[in-house]
Amino acid sequence: MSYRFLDHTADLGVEVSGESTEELFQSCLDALREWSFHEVGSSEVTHNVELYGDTETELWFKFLNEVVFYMDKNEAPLKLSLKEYHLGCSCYLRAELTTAEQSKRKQAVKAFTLHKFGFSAQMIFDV
Amino acid sequence: MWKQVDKFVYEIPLGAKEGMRVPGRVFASETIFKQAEADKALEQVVNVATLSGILRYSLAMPDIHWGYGFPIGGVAAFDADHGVITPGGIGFDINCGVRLLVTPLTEEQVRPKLGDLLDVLCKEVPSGVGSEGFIKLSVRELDKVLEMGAKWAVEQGYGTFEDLERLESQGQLKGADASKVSKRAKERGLEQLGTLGSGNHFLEVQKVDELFDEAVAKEMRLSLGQVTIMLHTGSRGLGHQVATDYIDVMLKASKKYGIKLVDKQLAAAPFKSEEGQNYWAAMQCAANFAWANRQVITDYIRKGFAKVFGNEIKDQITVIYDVAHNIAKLEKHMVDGMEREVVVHRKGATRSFSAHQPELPSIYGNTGQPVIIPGSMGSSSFLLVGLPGSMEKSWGSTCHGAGRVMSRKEAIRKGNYGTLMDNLGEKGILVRSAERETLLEEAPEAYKDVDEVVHVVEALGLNSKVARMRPMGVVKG
Repeated sequence: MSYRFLDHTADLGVEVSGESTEELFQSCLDALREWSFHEVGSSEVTHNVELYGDTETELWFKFLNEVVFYMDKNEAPLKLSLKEYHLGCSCYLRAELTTAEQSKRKQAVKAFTLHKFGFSAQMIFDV
Repeated sequence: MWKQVDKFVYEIPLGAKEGMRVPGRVFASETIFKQAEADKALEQVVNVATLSGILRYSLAMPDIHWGYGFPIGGVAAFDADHGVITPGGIGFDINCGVRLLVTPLTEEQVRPKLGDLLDVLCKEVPSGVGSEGFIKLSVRELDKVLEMGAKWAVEQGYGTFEDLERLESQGQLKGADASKVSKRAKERGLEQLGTLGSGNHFLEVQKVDELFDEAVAKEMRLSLGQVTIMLHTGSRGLGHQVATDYIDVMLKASKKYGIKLVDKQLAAAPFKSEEGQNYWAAMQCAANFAWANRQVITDYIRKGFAKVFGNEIKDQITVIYDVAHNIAKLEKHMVDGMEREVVVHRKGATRSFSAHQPELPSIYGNTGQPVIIPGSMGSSSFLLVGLPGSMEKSWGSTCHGAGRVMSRKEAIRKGNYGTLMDNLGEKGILVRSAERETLLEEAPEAYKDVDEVVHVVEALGLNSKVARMRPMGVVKG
């Protein structure tokens, strides 16, 4: 399991890990699925997601809120497949988001917030 | 770094963090302040103090706890000409609020039929995660809801025009402009009107078990032993989407207008800027949706009671008041001896106007605005009225509830469903809920002591107590 839930007084905090950006946000989907759904439906649907942003933060803020939008329709997030990903003066991503329709929810996530949102890395130097 | 400046007032001075424009002030008892210190709520009070155009203090009410952007219980007023507006000071559930209804029934009359009543209410009021309502709106009709609020609901036959007089802002903010709400937000709202939702939203059947001010209670048609109904819900997915959409706009606006952010969730725009005004118009739409939502549910509650107690009861259930506790309002307040227009942000905080304020309906002109404070699931709720102290100290604001002390995860981890139900049963409280985890999250132990929270606002002269209500039955989403 590449995520862990963090205590937050009012809301839900999650720390995720992954060896690539795609894996990192796949871990987000896994955490959201566990927190929000009792049962995952058997009918899968793939959404094409295309997003622009000024920063990487903005891009993923939009992506996670896209996931929340589908969860509100009782679609459990299953898989992220990143097709194009550019960072620069303008950031862009194109991805396939696979969800399971008619999943049974247990908890509602209203929205993804920017509070404490950030990326960190871990590395080892040979010294 | 903080100092205690009064028995129930703690101040975080200017300079505690670089960029603070005003000091922070937390209204709290010693116990509550220590709880706030233990999470990140005080840091959030300080963060709010860095925003442009903030006036006097970054305030926190005694139900303060860690949120995102503003703390929960956060109140701040910004100069309308030179200050900002921020979705982080309002929250995702725009106009989450509470409504209190009163019935002519007593506990003795309701108790024998309480189980049946809760079953009927569960059926009449759609609740739970992802619940859809009985009303299917067209986009055109939804636009009318967004601009007319509770008035739309009454015109469709949900309740009476007399109800409207007893709602904050009569259940309609006039600056709403449906063209500023995204297609996606509208899509989320189309099937959610008249739904309770989940999480901490609830519908509670209560009895009045203590009156503190009999004269005011009488004016509010409230007597000892009477059965009341408390409703807590907001703007559902539509409001969440409005907030999400505009945080993105505000991030860009912050960059454009050079607003330095210590927390991205405080992304803001000058109130008078195009971005600020667009959000202002959209936020009012979401607030109106929430008032229409509570108005439709009020009608469902009346129908539910009629099924159990006979048709004649329907017209005898009246609204005491309806308050928003996640909202921004343009209000006139005294600043340095002059009346000024300010944008008051209340995030997990309730408007609490004292008597004779022009916005109050004539029925409450002499009493002060009713303020509804729900307790946790097993504890009391309070009906208060606003006092002049709230106009002087907190921009006409007060607390909104007990306030959490335990995270949802911790509450689930530490709680035991059987014990919780036994404890509630011993107190005579029946519960109907779709989800066990939701009940554990909302266990009384997860919240502060509401009596202590109310004691602080009373001691500070923000409010006086009118009545205390004890729960008999709870419907949770």
